[in-house]
Amino acid sequence: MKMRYLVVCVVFVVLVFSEGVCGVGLTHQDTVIHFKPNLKASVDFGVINIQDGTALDLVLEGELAKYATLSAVDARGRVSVNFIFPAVIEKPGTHMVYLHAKEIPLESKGSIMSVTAVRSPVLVKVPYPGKYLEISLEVSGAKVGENIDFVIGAECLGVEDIVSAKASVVVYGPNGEEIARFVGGEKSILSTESVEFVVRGKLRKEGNYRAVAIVDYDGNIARDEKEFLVGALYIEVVGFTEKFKQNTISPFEIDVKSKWNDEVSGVYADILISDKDGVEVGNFKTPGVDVGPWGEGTLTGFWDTGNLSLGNYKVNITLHYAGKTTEEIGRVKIVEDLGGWISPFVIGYFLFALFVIFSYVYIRRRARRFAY
Amino acid sequence: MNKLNKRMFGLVVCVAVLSLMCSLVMALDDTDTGIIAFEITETVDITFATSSSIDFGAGSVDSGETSATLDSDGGNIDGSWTNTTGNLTLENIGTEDATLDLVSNVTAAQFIGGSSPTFKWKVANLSVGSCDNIAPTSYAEVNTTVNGTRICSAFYAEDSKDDLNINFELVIPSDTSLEGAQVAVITATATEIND
Repeated sequence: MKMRYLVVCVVFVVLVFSEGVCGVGLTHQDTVIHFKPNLKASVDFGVINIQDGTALDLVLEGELAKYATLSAVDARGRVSVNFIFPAVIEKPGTHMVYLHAKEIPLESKGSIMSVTAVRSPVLVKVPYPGKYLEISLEVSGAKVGENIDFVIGAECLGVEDIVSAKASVVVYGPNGEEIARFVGGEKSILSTESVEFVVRGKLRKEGNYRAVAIVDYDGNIARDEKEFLVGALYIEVVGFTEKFKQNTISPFEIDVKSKWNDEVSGVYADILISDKDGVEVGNFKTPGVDVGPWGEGTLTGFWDTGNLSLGNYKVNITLHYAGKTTEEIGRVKIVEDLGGWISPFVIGYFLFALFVIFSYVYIRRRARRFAY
Repeated sequence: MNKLNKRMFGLVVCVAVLSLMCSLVMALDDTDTGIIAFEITETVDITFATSSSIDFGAGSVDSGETSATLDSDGGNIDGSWTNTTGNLTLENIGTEDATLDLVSNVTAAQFIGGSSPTFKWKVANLSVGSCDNIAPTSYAEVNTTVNGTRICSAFYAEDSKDDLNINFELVIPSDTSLEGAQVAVITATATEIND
């Protein structure tokens, strides 16, 4: 009986600290330190958007955090991470020390609070014994028949300088076959120094390729690879819904066609509709779809035509795909009734009626002829 | 002589006026070269957007039912809570892409109490492509471990794709001994991805 009248009064409230505020953030510039024995170094950060009603919790995390201390946060939100390194760090490579900034709610009674935290890394690069080079490849400007820049970033992470580093790039096709081999320049690189090689070459056909960058440094090899596209990655709008019924939420379909020889994933559209005065009356996105090589696809969004008057509207469609956009501008119309289902029905009925009339006349004539 | 003086005076005045105008034009046209130096900082920053507050309000499990199920998609089964629609919208407002983790400071048992309570969340891209490897996309129990749950391997800073929604589902048993406002803190942690 007691249970019958049990009222479980549980209040669940999810609050953000205040409307329209930003969560805590960290700003910084260069955060790379090249380790040297007994090195003293500092990295400066800015702490932004500390909210009223919250406390700021700053901590250092990571294997090498034990060699670092934090300064106090000054009035402008600046804080320094100060390192005093030992004579030796056994493990070479890149070590991350994170500055972790977190909001701590000071008042949380009667609410569930959502808070933000951010972590930003300081990169401590401990040199490898002997000679050691790390490289990274970027490919840009990949168009058919034009120079393609293969940019190789090279960082000497060994304790010894590199006397001679020679860069080259090998390009492979979609089936793994070697397509081309380009040779770049030669450089010497000091310990902890970074340099850049730019290797240039042309390809005659559009498509997907894989570039392997190879840097031969004093008899050792460093390599990196990257897939890249050559040609015109382009998706065009071939059609879209032009008539919409008033006071409905209607599908807005966009037919697209790919001019690319490989699948393009996550193609979506932003649709902006405005009236004759330029006033925005519709702004929505479609979900993303994958479009196959040279394939076609349909993107579907929904437009609420409630409270909009009959007539023409301007539509601006922007397709988004693989970091590119295609824009299409056109017109759509809001009508009282689409009438799509009436037309075929009426035409069919009309044709059937004609058939019946002609049949009747024909039969009557035949009947009269036989009667005589 | 007077005429000549007048003409001379007029000439001098004209020359003076022209000189003044030339000086003025030259002064206006005077350019110099300066150096404006600035440094671009990188920022890692996320925020819960303006319209992301959720307030389920007060309510109770319906009489005769063993539990009520609420979710921020608007679901309310066997409970009297009315304000169940809404979600948290998280936005990357920094300049850097980041991984994203969620952690709760309380388990379902601590938060809700009673027999077999659940406290779950799920996430979904708001703008297509905002978050790589987004998970969980269906309701899963909240995580209270130190590192929480990795919900994005990359949460992008690009303006056209930088936001996602977080929804919650609660199963509240009728035999919970908790009453009044309950407190849970959901922390979203963005870790800058090193380029």
